[in-house]
Amino acid sequence: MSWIVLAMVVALQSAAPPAQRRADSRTWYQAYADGRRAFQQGNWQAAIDSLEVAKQAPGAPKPGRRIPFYGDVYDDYIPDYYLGLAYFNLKQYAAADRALDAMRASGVIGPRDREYAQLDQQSKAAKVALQAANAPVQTIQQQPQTPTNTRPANTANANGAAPNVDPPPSIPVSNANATAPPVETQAGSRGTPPPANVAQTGPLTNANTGARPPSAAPTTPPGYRPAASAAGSARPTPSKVTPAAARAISPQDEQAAVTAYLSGQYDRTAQLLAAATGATSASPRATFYLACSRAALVILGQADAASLAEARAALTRAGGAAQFAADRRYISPRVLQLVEARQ
Amino acid sequence: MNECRRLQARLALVFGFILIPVITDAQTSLQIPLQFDFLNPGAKSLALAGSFAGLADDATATFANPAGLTQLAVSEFSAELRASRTSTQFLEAGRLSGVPSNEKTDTIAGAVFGTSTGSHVGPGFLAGVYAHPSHRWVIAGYRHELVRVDQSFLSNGVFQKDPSSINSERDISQEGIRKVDVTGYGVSGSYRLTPMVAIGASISAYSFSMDSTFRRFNTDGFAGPPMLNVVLGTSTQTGDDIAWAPTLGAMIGRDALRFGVVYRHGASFDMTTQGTMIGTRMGMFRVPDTLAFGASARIKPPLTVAVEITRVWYSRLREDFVTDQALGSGHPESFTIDDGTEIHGGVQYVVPRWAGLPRFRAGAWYDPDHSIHFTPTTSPSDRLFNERFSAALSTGKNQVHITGGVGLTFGRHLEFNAAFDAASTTKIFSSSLIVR
Repeated sequence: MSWIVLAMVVALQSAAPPAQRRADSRTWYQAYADGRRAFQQGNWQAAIDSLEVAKQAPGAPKPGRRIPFYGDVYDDYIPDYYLGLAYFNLKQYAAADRALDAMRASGVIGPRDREYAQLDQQSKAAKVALQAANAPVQTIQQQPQTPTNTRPANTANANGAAPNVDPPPSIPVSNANATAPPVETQAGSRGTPPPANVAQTGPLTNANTGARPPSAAPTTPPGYRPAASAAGSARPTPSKVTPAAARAISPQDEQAAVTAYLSGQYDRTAQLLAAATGATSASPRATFYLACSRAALVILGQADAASLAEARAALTRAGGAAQFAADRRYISPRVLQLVEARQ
Repeated sequence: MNECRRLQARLALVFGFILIPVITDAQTSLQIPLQFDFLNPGAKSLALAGSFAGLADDATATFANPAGLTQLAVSEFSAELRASRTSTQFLEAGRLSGVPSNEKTDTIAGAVFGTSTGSHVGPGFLAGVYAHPSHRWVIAGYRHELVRVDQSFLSNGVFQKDPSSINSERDISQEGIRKVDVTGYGVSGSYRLTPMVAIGASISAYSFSMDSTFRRFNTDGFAGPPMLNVVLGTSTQTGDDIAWAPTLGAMIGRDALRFGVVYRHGASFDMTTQGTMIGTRMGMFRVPDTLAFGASARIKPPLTVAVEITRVWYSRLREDFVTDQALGSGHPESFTIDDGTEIHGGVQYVVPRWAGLPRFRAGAWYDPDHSIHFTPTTSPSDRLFNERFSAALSTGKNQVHITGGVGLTFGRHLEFNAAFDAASTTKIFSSSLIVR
């Protein structure tokens, strides 16, 4: 008899219309577990989907430590923490900022908790990125170059389903229990500037488009070679600065470069700064970030030893890394160790 | 025999009374009450007094209420080690009526009850649960020791005297050994219909083994002790069978308040009863059906309360299993088993701040008398028969079991539970391990 019941259930499941099958019947803790698992796998959008379901599911508790999930399973329930990190990795900085702020406000993660340092870093980084994204962006003077990437800028953010990006070395995206594997960057995502306006959680609009010259949006910065495939099988070659390419950089561009760095777009950072730091107007901070971005690319295997030498030279020009105490907090120790090796 | 009786009659004329051993045809194997307790598996369930139909939040839900399996977010494995000790009273000796002759064993006025103690230690429950990533369905496989009975007793044979007679009588001395094992091997499935409603079912193959032997012995004279080397007769009740039985369950609600209902059909097994008077009879051993309604409430995050009302159709045991034993008495209709309604209640308190996340549990449950009852016949000639069985089957009683236990969690993947169940006739200790 029970087999008959099971067979009927399976049949019902198979016969159910797609919309009904999509109905989420998970409990809050099941959705939360799914979200955390997706997060650990670096599947940011799936993590967000499940975590949002968890938060809105009936009976979902307030964030806390050792929350009863089911039976005798107790665990920490900090969905906003994972949401913030996942949104950040999708470059949805406003949502990330909001989630991380909510997490901080809950008081669940305190200075003694293992998640605190990351929460603190990510929260600040999200604010920086959000601030940069909301600031008017000046057009970057570029060398004439045929755009190789015709994908509209901010497409990823506009549809809310941005491709995965490498977790920035300075901002590990996993918690103590989770190690998010690096995910290859999809073509186009590296060529896009940081999001302009991501204040809403729904499908995002490209508020930057209006501030950007029509020719700038779909084009890529000089020297940028996007990955050849969505899987990122072709690694982009870091741009190299030449005296001819040297030009001034505005504070906004510098901020955009920093934002790109914090988003893990080291190649983009290098592209933005490489041309500018050759100029006398380039700030030491910009040069510092150029050095760090190139070192990060070397670590990721996307640049060669010559780039490392250039990174170290840039750091020398910047006057060393010690003076950038505030920025150093966002830089991976490994990057700093590499770039400061001869300092 | 007639000559012997005539000799005794002559002696009685001299001594004023006659001593006649009863070559009874009433099979006294029923004199030792047989009790089955169909407890839910698992130490957590035991500590909560078995009130698990409305909770069913670990792998033991495969038996307690399969619908609860969809609560599990991850797959898990569960193992339980259970030790039990059951004491059963039986009519051992004494004089039920008349005045003791003070000869040999006829020295005690009134019934003397002995205690048969059976104990068992074994893997009470093993289960593996697979939770599908969709969280909509869960399947599980399990092994459960449903019944473990191991009893033995030796009755001296009580003395009786009918007031209308000058003769005393004595029941035949009897030894009984009864072993009954029922082990279930099952698969369960649970499906979540909506976030609030889940259904579940299981199908189990129950392995049944029964080996009961009752020997009647001659005595050393009318009042002497039994001579265990002189067997007057033997009766047996045996069975070795496999039968299938389903369980159906449903669960409604979520953490704060949840209701569960589960129906478990008892398996029926072939068995054979053999005796001098009845020859060989084929019959069925029917495990009682059960229907349980349960509820659980998380009043506060650290406090969970669970209750359950369980109807057990013990009367299914009567047909064949009891009546075949009673056929020799000539009054099988006098032996019955009442259905029972158990009431279970348990509470769990968690201390989240403490290491190991200790969970303290306590509970109690009402266990109605489900021993074999005897209803006296109306025939005056059955006076001694009625007296004997009324005394022998008078020890069954309602009981209240007190339970308690503790659960501890080690890391994210390991959980340990320990529990006890104590009643006047039963002591159970259980420990279980859950790996997620």
